[in-house]
Amino acid sequence: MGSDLQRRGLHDLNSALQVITGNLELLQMSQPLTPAQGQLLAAALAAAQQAAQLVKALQQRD
Amino acid sequence: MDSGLAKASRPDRILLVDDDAAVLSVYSGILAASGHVCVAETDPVVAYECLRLDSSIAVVILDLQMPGFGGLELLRRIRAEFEDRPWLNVVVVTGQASLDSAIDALRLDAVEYLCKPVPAAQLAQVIGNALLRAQQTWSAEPVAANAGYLERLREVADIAGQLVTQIRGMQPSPVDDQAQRVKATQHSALRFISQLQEARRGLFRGIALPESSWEILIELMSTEMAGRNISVSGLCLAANCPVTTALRRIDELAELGLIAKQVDPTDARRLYVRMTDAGRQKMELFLAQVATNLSANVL
Repeated sequence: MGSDLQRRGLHDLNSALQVITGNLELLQMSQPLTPAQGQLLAAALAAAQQAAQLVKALQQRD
Repeated sequence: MDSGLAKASRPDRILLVDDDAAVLSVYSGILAASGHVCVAETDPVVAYECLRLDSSIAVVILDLQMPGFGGLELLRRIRAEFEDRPWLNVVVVTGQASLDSAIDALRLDAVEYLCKPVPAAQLAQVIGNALLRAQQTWSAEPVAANAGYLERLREVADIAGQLVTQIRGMQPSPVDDQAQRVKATQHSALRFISQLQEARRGLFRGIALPESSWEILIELMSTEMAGRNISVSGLCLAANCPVTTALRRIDELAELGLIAKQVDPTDARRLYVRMTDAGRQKMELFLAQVATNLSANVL
């Protein structure tokens, strides 16, 4: 069982991840992007999504 | 009073509620890209007020964990207070999903329960669907807010219909008889008018409201029943008297605690007027009395 502090921390992490992924997606929608910029954004987004999966797994263990 | 039965414009706005302003900015950006009009609030209490004043809101996106006044509490209040807006679609988004909160949210008729971080495409799709559903429900609810009054009007219309049938079925009768009937009709009409005046006087414990104040109260009641807002200037036009008099009447009614002025949350230069709970109760009482007297006299 995780503590309230841990639960609160994971909740806040999800909010932070919402801000990160959402803004990256908004950047992806904005035009024009060079292929290199597109790749950088895609890599950042993939990492953020991976982090989100990790947080979800931790919450499910709770 | 026709305006009371007019339908308000189709709700099309999205209210976003989350205590994190950065999250709100992301939601607004994503939804604006899909052409939606959003109102964002970090304070659930302000969000509730905003919803109360703005009947053009069709969909609410609600965060569950907020300090003080949680999303579920806000959802509970929305369902209790806005029974007359069955089209309101509420989408719950949370950073801490749990079975309990999901069940609570769905019991309170939330249409979706999403976990942060929500991908942009999913958010746009869910909100697009919710808006569509809200507008379909709205179209299928002819003047939903007025259901009770419509019921009363229907009763009165039924009575009037019966009367027309009776009159049509009457045989031509001697002149004396006809004169007597006209007299009886006039008598009923007079009785109705005096009952109406009595109801008006009785309503505010003997305070004689000027005619223009009545026009204001009736116009305000009509617009509120139609789910619309009315500004001070709009109300002045409806009062059928000089603007300075109308402004004074509005202030008098506000002093009596029947109506209240409120700043438009989207445009601070505009002042809205609304009925207070006490004012609304009195007007409802008055309308019910009028409906009763009307049916009694027509019969």
